[in-house]
Amino acid sequence: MVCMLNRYLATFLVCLHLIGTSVLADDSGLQSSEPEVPQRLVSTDGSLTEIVYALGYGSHLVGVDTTSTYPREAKALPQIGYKRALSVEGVMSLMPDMVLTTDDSGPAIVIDQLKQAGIQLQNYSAAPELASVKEKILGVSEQLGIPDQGKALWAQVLTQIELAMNRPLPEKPAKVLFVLSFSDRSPMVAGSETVAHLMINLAGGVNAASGFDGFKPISAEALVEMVPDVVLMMEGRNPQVTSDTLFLKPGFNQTPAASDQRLITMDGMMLLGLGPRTGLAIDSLNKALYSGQALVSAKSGLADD
Amino acid sequence: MTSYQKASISTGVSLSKGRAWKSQCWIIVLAIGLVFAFVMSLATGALSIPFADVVSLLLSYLGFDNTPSLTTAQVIESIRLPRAVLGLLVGSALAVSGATIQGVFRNPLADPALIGVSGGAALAAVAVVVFGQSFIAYLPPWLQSYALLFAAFIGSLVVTLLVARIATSSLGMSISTLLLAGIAIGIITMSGVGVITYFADDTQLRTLTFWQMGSLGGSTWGVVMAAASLIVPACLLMMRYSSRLNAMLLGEAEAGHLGVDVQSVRFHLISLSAMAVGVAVAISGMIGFVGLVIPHLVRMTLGPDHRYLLPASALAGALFLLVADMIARTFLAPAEIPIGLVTAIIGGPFFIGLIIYRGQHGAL
Repeated sequence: MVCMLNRYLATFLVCLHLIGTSVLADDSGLQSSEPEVPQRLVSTDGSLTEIVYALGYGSHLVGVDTTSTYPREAKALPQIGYKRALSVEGVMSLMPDMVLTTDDSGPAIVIDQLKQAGIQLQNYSAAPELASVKEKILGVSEQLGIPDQGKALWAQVLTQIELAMNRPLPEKPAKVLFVLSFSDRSPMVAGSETVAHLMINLAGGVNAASGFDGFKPISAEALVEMVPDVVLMMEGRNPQVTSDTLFLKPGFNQTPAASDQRLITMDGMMLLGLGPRTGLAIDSLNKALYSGQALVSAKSGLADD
Repeated sequence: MTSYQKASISTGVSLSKGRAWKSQCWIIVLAIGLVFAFVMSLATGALSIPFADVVSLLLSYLGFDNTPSLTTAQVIESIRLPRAVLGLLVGSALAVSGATIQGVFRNPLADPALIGVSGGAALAAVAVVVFGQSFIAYLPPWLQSYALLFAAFIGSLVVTLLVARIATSSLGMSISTLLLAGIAIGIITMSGVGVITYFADDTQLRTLTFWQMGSLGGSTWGVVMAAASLIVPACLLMMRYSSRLNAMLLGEAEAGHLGVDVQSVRFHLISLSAMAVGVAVAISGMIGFVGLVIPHLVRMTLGPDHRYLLPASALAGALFLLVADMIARTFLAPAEIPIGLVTAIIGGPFFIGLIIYRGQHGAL
């Protein structure tokens, strides 16, 4: 068996050499016709998919990952699976001339293999900061050969954020707790260094969960101690949590949020995706937090409280 | 060596000529099936490559003058071939270790997981993923691909030896204590995995979730060579113990009378299976049911003679994993199903059928 492996390895090394030279040849050929817009795009992140659609190039996408849920058309595209569990051959079978990735895409070995196979990859930051949104929008628009439209899209996002920031804030900002998921066990909440934390701050709120990074399950007692005024969750999860059921749970029932029945739900990709809807998300979160206590969600499903 | 051969001949476990002939035939059939599955797994995938191209590429290895297209060669040699070889290695490692452990414990329901092998490997591998990245970065590149494998091997070995130590008193090793200790330690290692998961950041968490479901994705030649260098010797060494395992089927005392040093054989076999399973778990995550179901199937067909059981399990395990991986790669293409889910979906119902069959027929 080892002997067989050796033979394969030898042939493999020879072929790798051949591939290497051929890729180089391809590159030099490409240089002459540089400003070519990719015709077959694969996106490995929901935010990048949204940006491609927002720039009007949705028809160039030939494959997306499972986080690409917006706009609705994206769901009809071939699925390459979860962004951290990509398959080399799966992506290659779509014959992409460019794959858009973020630092979240993986596994790392698959990304390396795609590079070795001569597929062009464009990688963007996934850090929980506004700079990532800017980098992605400007970067993608540049790849599509329409940098001006990218700048316009980014300006639009900024305007929406400014709109929210210019609204008057109450003296005491709302303490917001982002709950990622909860079953009968401890709820998973967002600490600092998360997109949820960033969005709450930009919308003029304060993250009720502090003192730890990332998502952590917390106990009912810790929940009470955080005294959240508002609970923020993603919508579209099955089964959808309503304020009726949420504020009956131990821990949740003893928070200020429970006495006012304040649960805000939002589209997960819009709120946490750091895509072109980031400005809109901040704006509507800000509105939901401060313009009238009754406003709970853009959806009418929760109007009963 | 002669005394062992004598032992196996005189135990009555050794088989009549007719049965040996049948076993040899089955091994040949399995080997042919494996070659076929291997070629098929090179020819199937999300990317459609004509079967003729695959054949012409394979012929070019054998010295026939063929010039396959470059992309075909590239996809097959850098993606499918290492993956198929890895499936081969992991499948045989899991099946041979399963058969060996079942022989050592004289319990057809024993599984490497039951004595803490997988738990120890998982704990060490998870610890390396979460805490070890900064440490690994200082290692030379060729060692980096070994770091996780080595950690998993050490983890499974330490946990397995600990379980064996707990079960050994002045009277020797007690099988029932060993199984109880294995289950208890298994629970401890799994909660250890839980504790480390708690400290993992968001990205590591998602990596771990998928790792636990098992995958042969992202196989590179570096990983394959690292795995082969540990799995192949471990499996071959386990097969060298088949006559002694046959003697041990009669019972400890009887095997002792036949000149088998039961304690040391057990120790060696447990260590070897820790090595094989530890490496397999480190590379491909948790792939269930191969170690349990494959040796069973083979035993039901060929009987309990380990001289045939172990090699046939190696072939059947590799065959099963190659087929499962083909399903994992193509069923939802271009996305991929974790292979651990595929083996569990096939293996789970089979195992239940086995239990029902056992209930009705009294034995396996």
